[in-house]
Amino acid sequence: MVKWINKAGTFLREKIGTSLGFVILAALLLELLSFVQFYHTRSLLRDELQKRMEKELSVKAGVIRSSLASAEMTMQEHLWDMQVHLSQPDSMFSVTRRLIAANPEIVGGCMAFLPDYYPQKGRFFEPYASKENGVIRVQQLGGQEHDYTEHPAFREAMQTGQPGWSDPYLYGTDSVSHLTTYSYPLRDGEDKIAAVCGLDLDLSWLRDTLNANLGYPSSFGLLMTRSGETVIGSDGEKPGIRIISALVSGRPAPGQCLMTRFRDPQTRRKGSVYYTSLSEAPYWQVALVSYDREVFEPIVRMWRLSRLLILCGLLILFFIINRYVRSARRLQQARIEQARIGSELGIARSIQMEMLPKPLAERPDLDIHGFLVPAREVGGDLYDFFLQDGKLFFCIGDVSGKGVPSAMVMSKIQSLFRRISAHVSDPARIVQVLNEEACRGNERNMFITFFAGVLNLSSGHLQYCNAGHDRPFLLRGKTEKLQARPHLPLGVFPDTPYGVQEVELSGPATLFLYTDGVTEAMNPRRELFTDGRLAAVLEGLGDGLAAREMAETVSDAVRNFVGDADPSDDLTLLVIRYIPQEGAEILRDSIDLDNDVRQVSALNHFIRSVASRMGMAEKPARNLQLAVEEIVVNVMHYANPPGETGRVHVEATSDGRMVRITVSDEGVAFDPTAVAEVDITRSAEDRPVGGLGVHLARHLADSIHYERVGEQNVLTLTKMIHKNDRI
Amino acid sequence: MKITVQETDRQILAKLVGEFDTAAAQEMEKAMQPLYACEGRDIVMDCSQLEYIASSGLRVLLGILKNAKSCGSKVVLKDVNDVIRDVLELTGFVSLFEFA
Repeated sequence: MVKWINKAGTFLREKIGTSLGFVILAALLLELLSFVQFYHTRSLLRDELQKRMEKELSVKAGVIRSSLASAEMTMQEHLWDMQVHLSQPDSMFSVTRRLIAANPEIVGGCMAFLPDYYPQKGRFFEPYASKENGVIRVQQLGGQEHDYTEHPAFREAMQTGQPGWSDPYLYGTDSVSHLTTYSYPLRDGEDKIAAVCGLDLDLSWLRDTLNANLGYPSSFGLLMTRSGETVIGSDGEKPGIRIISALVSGRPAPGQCLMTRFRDPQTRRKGSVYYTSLSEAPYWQVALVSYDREVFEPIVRMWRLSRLLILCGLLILFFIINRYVRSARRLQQARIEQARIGSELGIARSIQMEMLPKPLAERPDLDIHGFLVPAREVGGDLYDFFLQDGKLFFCIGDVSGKGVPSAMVMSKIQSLFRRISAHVSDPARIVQVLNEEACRGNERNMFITFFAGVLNLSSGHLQYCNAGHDRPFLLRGKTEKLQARPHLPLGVFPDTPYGVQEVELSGPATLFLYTDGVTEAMNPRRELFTDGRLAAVLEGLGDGLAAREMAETVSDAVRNFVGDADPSDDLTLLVIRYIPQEGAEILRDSIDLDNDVRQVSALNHFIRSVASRMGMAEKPARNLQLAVEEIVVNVMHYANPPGETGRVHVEATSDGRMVRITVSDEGVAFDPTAVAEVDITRSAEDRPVGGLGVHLARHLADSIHYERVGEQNVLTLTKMIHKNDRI
Repeated sequence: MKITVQETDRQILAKLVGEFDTAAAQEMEKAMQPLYACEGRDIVMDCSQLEYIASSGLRVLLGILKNAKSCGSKVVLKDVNDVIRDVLELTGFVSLFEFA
């Protein structure tokens, strides 16, 4: 059972919802409240009714009684008149006439003499007067055909010797008028009964009197005899008369008012009967009947109306709550969705941040620091840098727009930059390939301002290409902008020509690259940070600051300027400090070789002797040997066509910290460093034959740099001599 | 560089001595011929006295390995020194050969 109730509860909660449950509970409470109110009002009304009925009962009983009393008074007043004229039988007619004339409610009167009281008048003598339309007629009624001695009223008066009222009876042709007769035994001088005087009292007013002032259309009054017989008020139509008579008969003590509930078995109507009896003889009973339906009809109607209103109110409430709950649920769902997107954006942000280059291993000639803060979770700015063959490849870019679309383009450009620059060291060529890729399927017309540079760390030779990006600052003694032709940004036209520009950095120099998030940073007054402010901050930087400190100084300046304003764009900085290392040369030696790999043994011998003179241990010496052999063998293979002889000049110099090997030849232009990286994860069967040598050289030397100088290919390879590389 | 080959029914043992540079790689082609006739026998290369190897030397080893694999033989490099092991790692050759 409990299980079922629980099940029903769960069902209601799930299918109909808590809001409906709440409304149902409220409905039950309000219903209970309205019922209590109804019940209370009903008992108040019943008390009120009882009081009114008691009052009406006593009024009606009093009216009846006073009507009877006036007839009794009339009789008393004429007793003397009758007794005085007893000796004159003929005057009895005028006595009767006077008797009924005295009281307008009396419609008839008679004097029924004892048989043979007046011998001359025969055995039965009964003078009788009656009113008809205000005219009094007198006649003698007694006779053989009218033996009044058999009349119950006559006999009762004779027996008791006391006056008395008959039960009301119907009279006349219409059978609706009731009369009651007051019988009075008239005594002569010897105190013997001479005649029984009767007065007929008209009760036709009684019906109206009984029904007056009851207040309800179905309510009615009743007059009953002591035996419970209904005489007035009963017209046979009123339902339940018999029941009421049975209930009431003989019950009340005179003057008391009682109440009994009843239910009509035919109409099933419930009601109350209030009754009392006359305080004196003839002790008739007066009863007033009311039906609950009529009495309580107004409050029942009110109750129904109030329930209807409550129901309407609750329905409206239900709809309001339901709408509220629904919108709250929607809001919650939106919040969950937002949180999900937020967490995905957070992940996207960390992925984007992971794409940025890691700090390089510390080295004396280069200090580089990048800094990127997206305006939103993810941004369209990018920077990258990496070392390859003794060259620093770097770039900075800004994808138009902000947020996710820009971030996706940004990540595409960044990974392409890495892939292309693995085998292209000309920044203009890199930018050109990037532009072709950016134009491909660029339906949204997104463009990218981009700056790419390649810095030869051993020579200080900087090559760069600018695709519509803000020109970087070059700090060397003074603060100035790098001279850079503004080409079109990436993604505009696929065939845009990009040209390379060059600058020699002969001494220490700092390249400061930035995106417009710096110069267009906006303060709360909507002023821009501008190039001027940036230049001022850069000029104020002290000498010898690390790249990180420089970047932080600038970003702090921008942050202070922006203050409480929202960041308007991604903010990106890239600081490259180049410090060329020049030391005193302590070794210079060279060897000339024929263009023949069999001379490699001589080369190896030469390199081993250089390494040994520099005090290098076995392992770094072998690594240097391998790197040089691979490069030289490569040159021997490719610089001269088969069959042609050529010379290869190998020169070694050292300042004690590093060894620089320069390989020069006069063959056709050939850059071994442009060979793509080999895939060293392939299986034996899939391995290509070539490429391994350059791969090894790249990884074993600290830098490899190719230049075509005049008619010569010049390859410069450097190898640092670290402390633990020495014997 | 020198190479000595000892053949038994079950394996071919080749002892490499000296520097396996580009010049050596060219010269050794003939001396290496017995290693191409493995016929299901495993090839064990004793590298305990091999001091140095260049990419051309690696290419010779790769040729031997491809041939050995095609006839179901294994190639085992024995007692490789640190310098050579670094080169093998840099080129990904460590995953191709077996070591003992």
